Amino acid sequence: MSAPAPPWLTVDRAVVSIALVYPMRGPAGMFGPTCELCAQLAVEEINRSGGVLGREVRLVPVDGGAPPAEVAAEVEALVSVGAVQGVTGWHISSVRQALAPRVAHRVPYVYTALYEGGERTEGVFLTSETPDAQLWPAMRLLAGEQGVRRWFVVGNDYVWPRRTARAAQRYALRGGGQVVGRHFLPLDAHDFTEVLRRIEHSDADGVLMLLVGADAVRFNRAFARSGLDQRCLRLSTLMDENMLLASGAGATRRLYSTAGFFAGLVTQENLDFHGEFARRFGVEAPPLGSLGESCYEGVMLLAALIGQARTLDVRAIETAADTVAYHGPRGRLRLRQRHVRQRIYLAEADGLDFSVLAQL
Amino acid sequence: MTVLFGQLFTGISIGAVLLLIALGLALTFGQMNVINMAHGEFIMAGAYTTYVLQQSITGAGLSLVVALPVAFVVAGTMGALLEVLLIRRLYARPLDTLLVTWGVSLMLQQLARDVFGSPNVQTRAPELLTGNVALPGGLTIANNRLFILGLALAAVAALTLALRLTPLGRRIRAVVQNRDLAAVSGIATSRVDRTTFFVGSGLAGLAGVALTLLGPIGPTMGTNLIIDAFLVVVVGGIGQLKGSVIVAFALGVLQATGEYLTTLSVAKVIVFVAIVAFLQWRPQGMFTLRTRSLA
Repeated sequence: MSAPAPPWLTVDRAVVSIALVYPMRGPAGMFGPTCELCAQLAVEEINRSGGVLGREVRLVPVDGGAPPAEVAAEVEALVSVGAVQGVTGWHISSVRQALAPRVAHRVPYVYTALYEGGERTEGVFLTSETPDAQLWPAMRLLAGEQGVRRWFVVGNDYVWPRRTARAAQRYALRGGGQVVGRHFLPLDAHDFTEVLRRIEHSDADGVLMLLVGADAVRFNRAFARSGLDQRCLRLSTLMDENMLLASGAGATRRLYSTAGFFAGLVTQENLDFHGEFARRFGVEAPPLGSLGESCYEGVMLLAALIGQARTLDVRAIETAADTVAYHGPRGRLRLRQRHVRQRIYLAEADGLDFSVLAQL
Repeated sequence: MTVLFGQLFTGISIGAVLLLIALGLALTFGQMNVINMAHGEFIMAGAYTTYVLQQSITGAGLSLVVALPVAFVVAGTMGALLEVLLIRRLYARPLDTLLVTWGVSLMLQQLARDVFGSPNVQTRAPELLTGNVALPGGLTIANNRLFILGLALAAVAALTLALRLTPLGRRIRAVVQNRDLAAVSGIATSRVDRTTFFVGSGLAGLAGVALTLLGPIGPTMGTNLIIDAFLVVVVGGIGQLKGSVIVAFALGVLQATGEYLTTLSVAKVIVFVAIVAFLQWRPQGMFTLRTRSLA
């Protein structure tokens, strides 16, 4: 039986192949193109400066928008036949949970999506923002500056929103407020009538959105249509410029987001990054945002980890991980306990862009 | 070629997981003809047992070693309770058994949600079971897959020996072959039923422990597996084990090869079509038990 092998399945010793697991469909699919281009940019930069271990880096795209078990099976197969030597990319937490035990200590795995915190699987490294550094300071600031006391949490129904909602409850109490209601919707939700009615009746003055991609976009539109945006501000830890663009300027009033990266952040590193991105992909390229840009961070961290350990062996990489640092649009970043420590910002939507208000 | 060999091992690994989850069912469904829809929840119980043990025993290796027997007993006890409280009263009514155990399955899922919360939880794998063994040609075999293969084969061997050689095994086989004759020969059939259910459900608990090495633990993890497990037993043939063993590995390899040549979803369709075609040809399954049953 001679099967036509896919082109990436020619195992080539002169190349370090990295599985890039990013959403090609589903609610998160809308920022998939940015994910892909950012990772591509990182790979090209690394290859220009000599590659990893003197070998060329190549990306093997994997659809992270598929059901978690499918993604895990696909990546596991790639690892087992030696077709990839590392895994990175933005995908939701349930995909990470399925993936981590399948690749643990087989190849290094860099997870780039903001998440609920607490991942301790060995051989998994995270460039992600976590609630203690991302959500708590933002809620504290909004409580202080905007007087938000009564939070309503709306999220998709899986591990990241559920766990983050639990943390938000603690943060609200710590900040002198409370969570007055929580509502979880399945991924790919279209009907927000029920949750909007509950927010209306709850007297909330702040809505914490833990919705993914297109779900958040549809919620934004329904929220604005209902007129609730007059009364409540919205805060989200997963909201980038692609999602603003999809929501439309009319649906982003009093919408706050918090992340380690915003396209509008004026720093030297960020301006350089914008320049490179525009030069390579043109002005018509999809908008930059924290979610897509995280894939650039992921490739950079993976390369730095392998470079520091001088080997692809995961246990050696783990031993050397504490001294790893790399340079990117978010500045010079270091690893601590497998997580990247970074500056995090609060931004408010201004039409289709975010204007950064404060460093948290 | 290397890729095909790699997929072959992937298929064997999938088969090992299938075998482990179907083995308990081969006893309760295969030997006793009870359609227990809550079997998947016993798998879940085994997985959560591992999780709970890991909260108190911090060493991942030790907690896994402890989890194997504890999960067997926990899931087995749940199974025995289910048999004594409900299934016993419904032996003559298979459709009612199906409905009742489905209800129990939903209740157990909700119980897990209430106790552990609806988001998935994870366990830490012992150091020894992470990483992989490198083979020539760039292929690697994951240690956790090898462990599960070993566990599945050990479970099959133990169960086969127990059925062949122990007095309990003889009694189980006697009751399966001819319940009335066994009863008049002085075998306490109800006690045998309870024990069989204990062992079958306990094996589901073992499968649950093994599955924590491959993915997260959630309230619905069992439901997703149970269909495949039933397929293995139906195709393998009722009343004996070797059919289930062969079919589990055959389906695993078919799935992995199909996945490689097409996509995961198409592979699933191929597997189902193959099963339907096979059952058209041999509705009784791969092997049948020859008995001089009066029924």
